[in-house]
Amino acid sequence: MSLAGSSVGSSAHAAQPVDSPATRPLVALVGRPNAGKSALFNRLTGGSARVGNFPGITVEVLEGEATLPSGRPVRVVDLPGVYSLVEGVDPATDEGVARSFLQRGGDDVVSLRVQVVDASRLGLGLRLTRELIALGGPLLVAVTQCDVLQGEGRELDTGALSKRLGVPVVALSARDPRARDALSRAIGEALDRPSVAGATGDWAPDTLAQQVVRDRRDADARAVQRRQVTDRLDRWLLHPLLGPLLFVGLLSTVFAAVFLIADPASSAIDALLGALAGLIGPLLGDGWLRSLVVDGLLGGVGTVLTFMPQIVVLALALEALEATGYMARGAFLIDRLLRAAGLGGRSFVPLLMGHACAVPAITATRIVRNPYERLVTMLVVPLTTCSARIPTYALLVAAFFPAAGALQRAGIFIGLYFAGLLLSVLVAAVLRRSAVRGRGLPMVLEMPAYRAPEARAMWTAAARTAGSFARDVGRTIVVASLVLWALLQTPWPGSAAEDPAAAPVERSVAARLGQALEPVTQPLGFDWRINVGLIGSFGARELMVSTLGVINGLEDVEDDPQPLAERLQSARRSDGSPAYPLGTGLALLAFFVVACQCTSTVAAIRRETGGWKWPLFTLVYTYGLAWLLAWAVRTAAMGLGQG
Amino acid sequence: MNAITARDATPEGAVASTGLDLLAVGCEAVVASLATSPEESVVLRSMGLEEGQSVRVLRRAPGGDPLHVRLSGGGEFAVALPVARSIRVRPVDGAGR
Repeated sequence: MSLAGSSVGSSAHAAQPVDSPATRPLVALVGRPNAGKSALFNRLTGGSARVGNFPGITVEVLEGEATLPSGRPVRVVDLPGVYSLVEGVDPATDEGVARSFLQRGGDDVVSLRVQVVDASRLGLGLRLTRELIALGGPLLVAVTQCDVLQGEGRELDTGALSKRLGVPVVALSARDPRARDALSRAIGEALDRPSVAGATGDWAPDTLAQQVVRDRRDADARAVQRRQVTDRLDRWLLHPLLGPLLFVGLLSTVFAAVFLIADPASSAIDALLGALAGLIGPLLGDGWLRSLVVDGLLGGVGTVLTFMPQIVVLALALEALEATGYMARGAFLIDRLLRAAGLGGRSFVPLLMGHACAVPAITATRIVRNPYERLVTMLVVPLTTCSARIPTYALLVAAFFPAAGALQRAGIFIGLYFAGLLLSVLVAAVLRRSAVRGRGLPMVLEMPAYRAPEARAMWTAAARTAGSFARDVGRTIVVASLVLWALLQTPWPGSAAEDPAAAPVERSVAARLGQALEPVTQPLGFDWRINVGLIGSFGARELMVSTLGVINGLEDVEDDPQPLAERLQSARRSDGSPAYPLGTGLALLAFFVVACQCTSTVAAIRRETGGWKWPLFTLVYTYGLAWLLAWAVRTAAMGLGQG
Repeated sequence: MNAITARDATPEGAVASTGLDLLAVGCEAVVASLATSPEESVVLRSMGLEEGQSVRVLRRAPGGDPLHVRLSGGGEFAVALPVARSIRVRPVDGAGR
């Protein structure tokens, strides 16, 4: 930590020689999932949150800074939500991470634990309080959602609760800006107080909760009615017929929004980068340097940036579903289906996130407690339709369904989305019965009360997702596009003498590799040009379109894929037949639905599983299955006379 | 409800336990024991599903599985049918009507 601490530095407190980030007290927020921990963390730390660096903690734990009323700075960490700290859960899951964080030793120990408890589910939260008290060490109980409690005509007797627990208690509403002051004051007082001995006391969580939460005398009929809001909403949202319909409708709306909002934004970014390339290009002359910067570097960065709007829109939508409490309802509705596939209701969240980007989704599998279900979820997340597939889908649909109207194209897209989702469930079912067999832990999923989402928290979460995408995926895309640029620019040794008439790109190393692959891809109808595209998309599938553009001698196809689509349509073999008939197009679509063409995803699986076995397994099974499915689709199309 | 309690009544008058999965929608019962593996019981208890808790079945998902239950402690949970089967409960007479 000392290394990271010294590199972070602190300009605001440079005047105080005693203070350095490493010596600041470390405050850990801990609590059940849905308790409102993250909202409180955001409130406390403002916008200072970043991923912390803690030896022995391999997963991302958010860390931020807060200043106490005394002016004393503290570091605050937001631990993953946990139900219990007892042994017996896989250390790689959220529960395990939080437990090992609280129990770790060394120089960087937790100075104060702040347990965030949902006031409306106090009895459940107090079970964890009991464990934390037994663990020993300073503890502060922060009861949040008190505004909800008040709205329902109830109130919490903080004094009585604190007295029974033997630890300080502060009542808060994360929505209220004053929560920051109240919490930091309480943290300051708790830090000054001597350590609390581990004595659990003789209280039962539910009984104590009933004793300290009372009906207010002024509770009116409307307040009492508010207690029924979740009940009433559930009557509709979990209705046996209406519920599933609303669920599918909601998911379709989210995916449609990704297109409608993100598409114009992506085009704008693309146009901006095009203009930038136009400005820089002439300054670099006409040689390889210009090509490297404009085609290689700017192309790669541009690819990363154009995905941002989609990532942000989907992250916002998912955060809204999570914050409102609907996510658990979705899991409830499709739990049976997921269980048949050997997954659990919790797997639904990473599977849904995978539709933005598989990399954060693979990190999100940590909420799946069962190690077998978690692993399988990780292995099938790459099959969900991530936003990087969209440009290729758009190009292929434009090229092979030129007559399709906007509605038909939308239909094809929705079909591809559901194909990916269906396939992920099917593959999970097969894997759970073959490669990853093992019994699951009991499937019990908490159904939180519905809450109005907080815009600020949603933005924070979306910005974080976008940031980690830029970091994890962005780097890979830029590197992959630079490597690809080199492969396309470097001529195969001696090729100039063999065929001087050929265009330089046809003599490149990439082209030779593409030709070498032809025997493998010939049954799918892919020629060497498409193979070069596939080589390009091995590192990052988003490079498919630009690579096909380069190999077909077209520039800026990312801005406008239409000329490339037309080129693919009109391309002819030497015998005059279409080079890319419908069957080949469909096979290519099928290939892109399945293949894990994403180095970042492979790296994420390696990080989460701690070895090369499962990432390599993912590559082999997705490419194998992609080939089989593409072959089956093309064979079927040829049977129907669309060869 | 009444039919079950009459049939399952033991000589001492105590009501015999039944699986949570057999509890009808709207009915309330008290968790009597967890017939699950030790690790499973740890998870269930940490979430609040433990002996002595009153539990009411609010609804079932389409297809009858999982159950949506509410605990007297305040939490609501989706409980998969195989898990519900191993949560032994004693119906509270006349509750949920």
